[in-house]
Amino acid sequence: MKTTSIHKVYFLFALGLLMSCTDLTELNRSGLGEDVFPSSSNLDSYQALVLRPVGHFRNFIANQRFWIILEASTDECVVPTRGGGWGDANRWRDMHFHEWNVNHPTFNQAWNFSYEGINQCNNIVKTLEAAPEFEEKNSFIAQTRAMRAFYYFWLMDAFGNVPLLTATSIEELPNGELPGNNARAEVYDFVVSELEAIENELPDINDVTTYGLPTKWFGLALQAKVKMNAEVYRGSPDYEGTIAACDKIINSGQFAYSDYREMFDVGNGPQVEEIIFAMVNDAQQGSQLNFAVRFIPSSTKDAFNIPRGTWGGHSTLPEFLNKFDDPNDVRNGQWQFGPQFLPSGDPIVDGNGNQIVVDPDLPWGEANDANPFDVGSDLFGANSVKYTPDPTVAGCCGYQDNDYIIFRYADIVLMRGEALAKQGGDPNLGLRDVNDLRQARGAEPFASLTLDLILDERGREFAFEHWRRNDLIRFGKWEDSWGLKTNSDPTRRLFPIPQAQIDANPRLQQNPGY
Amino acid sequence: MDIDYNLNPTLLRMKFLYEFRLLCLLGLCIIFGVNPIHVHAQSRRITGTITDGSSGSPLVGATALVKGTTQGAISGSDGSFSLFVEANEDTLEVSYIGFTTQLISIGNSSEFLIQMLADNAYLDEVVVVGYGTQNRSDVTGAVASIKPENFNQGVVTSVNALLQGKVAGLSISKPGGDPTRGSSIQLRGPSTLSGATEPFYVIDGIPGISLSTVAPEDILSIDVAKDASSTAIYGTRAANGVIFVTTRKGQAGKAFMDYHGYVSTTAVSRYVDVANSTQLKGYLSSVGLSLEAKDDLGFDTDWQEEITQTALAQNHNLSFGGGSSKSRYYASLTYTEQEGVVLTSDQQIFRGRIRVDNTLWDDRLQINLTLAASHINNQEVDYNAFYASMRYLPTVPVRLEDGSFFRDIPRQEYNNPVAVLLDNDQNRKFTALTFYTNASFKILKGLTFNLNSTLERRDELFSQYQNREHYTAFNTGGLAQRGSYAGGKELIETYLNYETKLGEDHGLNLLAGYSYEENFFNDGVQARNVEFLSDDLGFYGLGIGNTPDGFNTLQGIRGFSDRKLISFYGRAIYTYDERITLQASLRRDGSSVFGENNKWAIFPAVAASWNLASEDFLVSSPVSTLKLRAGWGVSGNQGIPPYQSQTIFSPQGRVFLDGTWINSFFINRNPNPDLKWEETATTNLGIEFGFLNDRINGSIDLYDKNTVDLLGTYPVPVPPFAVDDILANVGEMNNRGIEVYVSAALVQKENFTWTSGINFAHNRNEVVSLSNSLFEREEILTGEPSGQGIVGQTVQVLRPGLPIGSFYLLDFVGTDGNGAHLFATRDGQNVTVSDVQFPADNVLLGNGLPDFTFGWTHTFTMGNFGLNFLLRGVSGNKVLNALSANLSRLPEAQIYNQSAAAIEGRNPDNPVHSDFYLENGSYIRLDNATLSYDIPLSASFLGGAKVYVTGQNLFTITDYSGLDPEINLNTLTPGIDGIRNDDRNYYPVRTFTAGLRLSLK
Repeated sequence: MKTTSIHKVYFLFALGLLMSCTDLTELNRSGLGEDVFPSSSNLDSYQALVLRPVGHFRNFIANQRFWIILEASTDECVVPTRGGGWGDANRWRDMHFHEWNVNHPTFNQAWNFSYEGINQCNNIVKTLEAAPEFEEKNSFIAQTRAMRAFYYFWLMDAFGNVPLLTATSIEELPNGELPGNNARAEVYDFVVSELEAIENELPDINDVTTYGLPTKWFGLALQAKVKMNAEVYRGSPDYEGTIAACDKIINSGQFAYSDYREMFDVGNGPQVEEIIFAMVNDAQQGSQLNFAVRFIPSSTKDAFNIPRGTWGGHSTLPEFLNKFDDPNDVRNGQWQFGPQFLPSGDPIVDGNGNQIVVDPDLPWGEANDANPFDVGSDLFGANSVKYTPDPTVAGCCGYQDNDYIIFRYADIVLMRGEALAKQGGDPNLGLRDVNDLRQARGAEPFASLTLDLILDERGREFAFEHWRRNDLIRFGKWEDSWGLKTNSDPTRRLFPIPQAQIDANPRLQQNPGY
Repeated sequence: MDIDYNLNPTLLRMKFLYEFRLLCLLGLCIIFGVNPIHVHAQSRRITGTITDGSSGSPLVGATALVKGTTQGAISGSDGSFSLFVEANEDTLEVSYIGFTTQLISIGNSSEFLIQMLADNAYLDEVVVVGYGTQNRSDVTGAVASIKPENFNQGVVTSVNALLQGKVAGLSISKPGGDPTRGSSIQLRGPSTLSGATEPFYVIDGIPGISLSTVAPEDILSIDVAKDASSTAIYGTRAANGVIFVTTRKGQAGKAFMDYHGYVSTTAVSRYVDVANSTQLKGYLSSVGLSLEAKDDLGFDTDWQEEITQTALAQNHNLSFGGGSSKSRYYASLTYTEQEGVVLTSDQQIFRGRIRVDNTLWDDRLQINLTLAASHINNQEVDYNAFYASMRYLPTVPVRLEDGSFFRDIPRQEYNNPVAVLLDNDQNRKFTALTFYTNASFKILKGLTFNLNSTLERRDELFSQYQNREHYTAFNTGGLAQRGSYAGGKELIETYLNYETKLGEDHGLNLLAGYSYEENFFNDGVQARNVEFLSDDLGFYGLGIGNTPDGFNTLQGIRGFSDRKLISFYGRAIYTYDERITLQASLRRDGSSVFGENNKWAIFPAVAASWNLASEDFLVSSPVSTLKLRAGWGVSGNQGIPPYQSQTIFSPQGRVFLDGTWINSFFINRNPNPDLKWEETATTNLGIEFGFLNDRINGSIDLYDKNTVDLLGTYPVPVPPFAVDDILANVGEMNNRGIEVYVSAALVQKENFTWTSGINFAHNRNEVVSLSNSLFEREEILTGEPSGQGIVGQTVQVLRPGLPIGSFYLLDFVGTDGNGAHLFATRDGQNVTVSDVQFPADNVLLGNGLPDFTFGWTHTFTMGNFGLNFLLRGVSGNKVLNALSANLSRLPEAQIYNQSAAAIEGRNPDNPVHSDFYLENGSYIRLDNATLSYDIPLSASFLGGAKVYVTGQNLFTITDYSGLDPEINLNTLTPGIDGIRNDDRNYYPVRTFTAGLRLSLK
């Protein structure tokens, strides 16, 4: 019987080994779980969240995100095919011709960029509202709501009828379903009411401590901008609202004109009095600004001491360049064209010893019979050097240190002038503000004003600063012809809802005309 | 004996001389030094007749050999033979294909009647299955067994490479000859959108341990289990098949020492045909252009040749073993060095393995322990050098007169290819250490308790230094990076096995087990630095760079992760009289990587087989084997990274706050508590057959493999989701196919045999659905070959009803008067690229997956000579020659070199992907041919000696105009021959090897 009991022992031992652990709980060691972050015992963790939508906004100018759809579709920027480069499945061509379709990849990128920001804000507002009371709580919430309004503004401006969402999970939605579109006017109302509600909760300081953050002045500038376009967005204007918001900013005494070229220089920052809100860039810490690499022809890079190769794609159209007609205007300096020189003053020469010249003309149809949009080389078309090329750029993509300015004092002044002119039905009512700016830029004051002159003034002042599309539509010039673009279909005032979004949410209605 | 080095200049170039080679020379001297002198003085004649024991008919062509010598005879048409034997020779070895080899004592007899018994070697073969072995006759699933004599030879350093072309349905491809990169492998077609595609490897019964420690010489057999009825016992990891690797171990009473060494030389087998100076300048002048003076320096540099070299390789394996019935051991040590054909490219592998086996306690307790280690030292190359070598102008020199590289920094995408390689020092070392032990204890008769336990550690150390002139690092005064990460595995498995006979004919085998496994990854740190004052220290100088303000030295640091798998499994096998086998298995797997709601899943399988050859009506027919098999089973795929079901907050960019920069945080992943495994249900029908004592034998398998709940990243709306995609189980994919294997001993003549085997596989893949109730997608555009100016043009589509790899491209219809490509639009116009709409004008234009693949082996023996070779190929697939498109940029011919075809084609436009670049990807390749010679020596201490020469990739028959039609087929976007940082541009190679196998006893 002894053997039997030994067998039992073996068997029990074996069974014990058979029935060990069954715990499969996953303890995540590659990120902070929502059960531990953020924590009220560490207010910095809330600050880290609040800064996220601010940091995310840097993607606005990232390659193929939002900025490009506002620029390459206008008369101030074109990305022609250049010999072997920049064909890119016609994405640039379609943008210029206003012949984009619902699958254009950049629209989806732009849409996602905006909703990513909105979604961050929604989640952060919810987290903050549930947090225990602390001193900065209301300010943090207001900053986050301001950023959300800002993202909604861009989305509404580009795509019009977009779904208004503040939910943070599918369960919070009616019937657990994604909503369809909201009318553009509803989104407008949301943006305005949010901005008005938080106006006094936002920090009203404007110095290094709030540089790059959504301050009260940022909120007011955004209010002015949204209301300036009220007629486009909701069908009826709100010039009073624009004027009131502009007055608050101008009368605060916190802002003034700065030197036009220094304002965009590599070292720009909190010291620039004209900046109301800027995206803060640092090549090491975070920057998506690589205009020099994207704009400047590689063979001319030594004119700016750029240490790496450049891509030379984006240029302005000759007809836009012609608007710079006052020789004393300091803003003329924002373009690169003509014979190219080294900083030492010596000419830049090609392999055959001839001086390199950037021809501001775009010779459509001359370089390539098969493709009139192909200008053959990157030495055609004047290039924007407004954001001074950074001589320390490195790495894959040439990201720069220049802070990218979203709202600045000059815009407030010109918006007020425009609002006064339109409100009173007499362009000359804006003359004082427009001439105020012109004098600051060294240009001859106008004797009298037309709406076209206001638009041209905005063009000169804000070239390559993301406002051109917004301005052209507001002034009714979006259907004009420029370059090779002749499309005058008014439904192109709105970009299409990206097909990928409709695929993901079948309740979304496509914009008219697509 | 003396090797004449002067005969082979490449050998002269050998810069390595290790003790191993000395040993090899010593071995040769011993052999040739002891060449015995045959003495015929005392020989006598013996005669005999060899017959088939069951029928009594004479066997023609059977071999009678005096054991331990090369003296022998082949039986004639009446089965008779005669030969001379010496007085001291006492054993006759009689063999014939399909019959059991017999040893006959010679004694004083001079006449022999030898009756041979049919050898059911095939059915008696032992096949490794999950948690045990089975006789071939009882196997119910599709399992292919490969023995060392069938392995691919030559410079072969991995298990996958041994099998390439050998197993029907097992697609293995290794594009290019980069020694530091492995091959990709896929069984029975693509069955996943994002999960793992590799089969699951089980080494000596231990699931999922590192293959890198296994040298080809260590392998005793490889069994490839293809259908779910054989693999479902491995549950969540088995959907792509299971490959069982069995390594050698010591045998009682047989002490041995084996040496295997080879040297080889490898050269590029094909370059891309780009223009030379004359062609390029000729083209330019024909269109009224010329090179700029600074580019026209009178050289004719062949850049592809400049970055390549004839590469050498060597391998030395020494293994020995022995022992008693109580205690046995096996040890082996392998050193392999393989240079790449591209400058600086190199790999060294050290492998060591020790196994000890003890049998104790009246043979009731068996315990063994294996220690296996490997160290791989890879010198990697920057793949940008390849495209650069095709585009750099041939008219400039590699170096200037002062020895420095010719450079033209401002020109985009224009980096001296030799400098790209030599300015970069990129090294990666992998060290793996595996301990595993198996103990089995017979509790009662038939009842065995088994315990496996394993500890594995894997270390990776990578180091890179791009010097101060490197084409990107010159911006930052050099760049050094180093990182070290550990990974590992701990495993314990216990199972009980009960085997019994119920009566005479009924066999029962029951198995129940438990398994617990933990894996961790990326436990380590990495750092980088810039601004070095000198290149002298390379990456060892990491610490002395002048780290600029704000430079993130920790950029790229990997996140630690771990995963756990817990399983319960059971299996019942019933056999009746070696005729009928019924088998059922069940596995319940729990994996930590899945969502809270779906951590556990059940994987069932059932199968049956029937050996008809044992039935009365076939016993005296020419049919020697006939077996029908049918099986069904479900297996899973858990091949996703850990933590994917959870929400986490992570740093997402630094933001300026009051003069400093701080990390901002946000959610970086949508939670999916329902995340679960892909499940693949396979139905397999098979037949195994053999005729004429299996002189002709083979198998046919039909399968239907259906995968549901495909793991994929699906776009979701933001908000309400936190992030714009989610890893979820959506969609369905199907693979159906047929696999055929036939082997035949075609010739069995005196002094000459010829055996041929062919395997053939056809697979039809279909994406069944990309939607479920939550997520809907009509199609996914895939495949974006990179290239300047063609960013964003997708070339393939995933769409329900179509197979993976469907080309969805512009339809090239001809050229206009200027040579510009014209494409058909959706409304029937022929337009140039500027009027094309993407993707609206794309059309379906064929598929990147082959209709069928095959491998065809031949083995010849003639006396002591042996010859075998493998032809393999694929047919019916298309390859998009994206490289050719990227070398067709005539508008840039003044600044970049062009392909010869582009100059001929005269397309003045920028390249656009269309079926103009879509080519037939079918090929037949003489992949591996070996000629061997058994050195006829006899010495008491000599177990055998063989020399051989092997050629790899000897020729390829194909219409494909690119570098190599063998591109990676085992991806989501098969059939795209792209550019740059993928596996596809490293030049294909041809290798010649000379080797020696020597066995002492």
